[in-house]
Amino acid sequence: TKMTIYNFYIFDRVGNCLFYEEWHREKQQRNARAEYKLMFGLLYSLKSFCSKISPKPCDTFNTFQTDLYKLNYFESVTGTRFVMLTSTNVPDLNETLRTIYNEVYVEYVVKNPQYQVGSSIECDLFKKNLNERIHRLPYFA
Amino acid sequence: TKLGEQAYGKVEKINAELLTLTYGAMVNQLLQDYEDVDEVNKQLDKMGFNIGHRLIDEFLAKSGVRGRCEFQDTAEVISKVAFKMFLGVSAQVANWNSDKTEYSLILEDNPLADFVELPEKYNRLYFSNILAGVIRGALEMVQYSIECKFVRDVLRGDDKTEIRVIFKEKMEDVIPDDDD
Repeated sequence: TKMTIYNFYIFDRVGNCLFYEEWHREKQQRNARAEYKLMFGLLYSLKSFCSKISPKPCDTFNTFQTDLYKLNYFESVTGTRFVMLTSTNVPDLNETLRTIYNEVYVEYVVKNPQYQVGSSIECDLFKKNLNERIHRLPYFA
Repeated sequence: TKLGEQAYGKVEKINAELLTLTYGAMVNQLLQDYEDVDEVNKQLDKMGFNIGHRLIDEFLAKSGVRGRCEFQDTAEVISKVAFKMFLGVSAQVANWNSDKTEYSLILEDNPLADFVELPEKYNRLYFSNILAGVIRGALEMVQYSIECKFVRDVLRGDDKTEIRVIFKEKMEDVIPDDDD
């Protein structure tokens, strides 16, 4: 199977989905709101599980995968959560998500004075830069 | 300290006098608009708080500080890395209380106040109070609820400029609600 990136979510600390974008997602999204809620619930539970079971406190997870997809996760110290779903043969994208936070989210969302913290991200420059980066990834087919 | 130097190297810089004069002009305007020194202290704190909410992400992205830290560690990070990165100066950490929930940041050099003299009628003004707000806003985003205030200021005739940081509580992750 070829390598692909399916979709991408950004959540804030309290579970609002600030941003969603999809590229090679095959199955259509049915109920977006329900999906975001399920996703955030999963992230929350998985993170809290990982932390409880870990030998050291404050642990979290980077990826998990099923037979058909891999979920990559990065959480900033400020609690913004970045999630990217890919095919299983794509390497871990944790560092890529960190770079998206450092160089795209911070530059084009946080520093945009029009952007209200906690509202959904409508910034065109952010979308443009994000898409350019994703398209440049070698796994994007 | 090295981390602070590195982060300082990475950020874009502006002329320090431009910052000082712009800040001074803004405080002056607030004094005219509100005509009440206590209210101006409050407004500066509020502005700082909103700036801190955003600045923290910029700080994390450029400084390379990773992972959660304990409240005690915030003292070093703020004084050595954040102050250096955004103001070009570092602060001293001092006056810890016995259970390590309060500390002071001592500013030897405060670029915001470089050309400032406070007239007698403004002697209750904390001219650089925006800094207290920034610290409070930034720490709130990493889930520390704190109180932050100036306790001494050379502009008011004190021998040092001192910002007090007081831990209130660690905020927990919000549990997703299950309303539908």
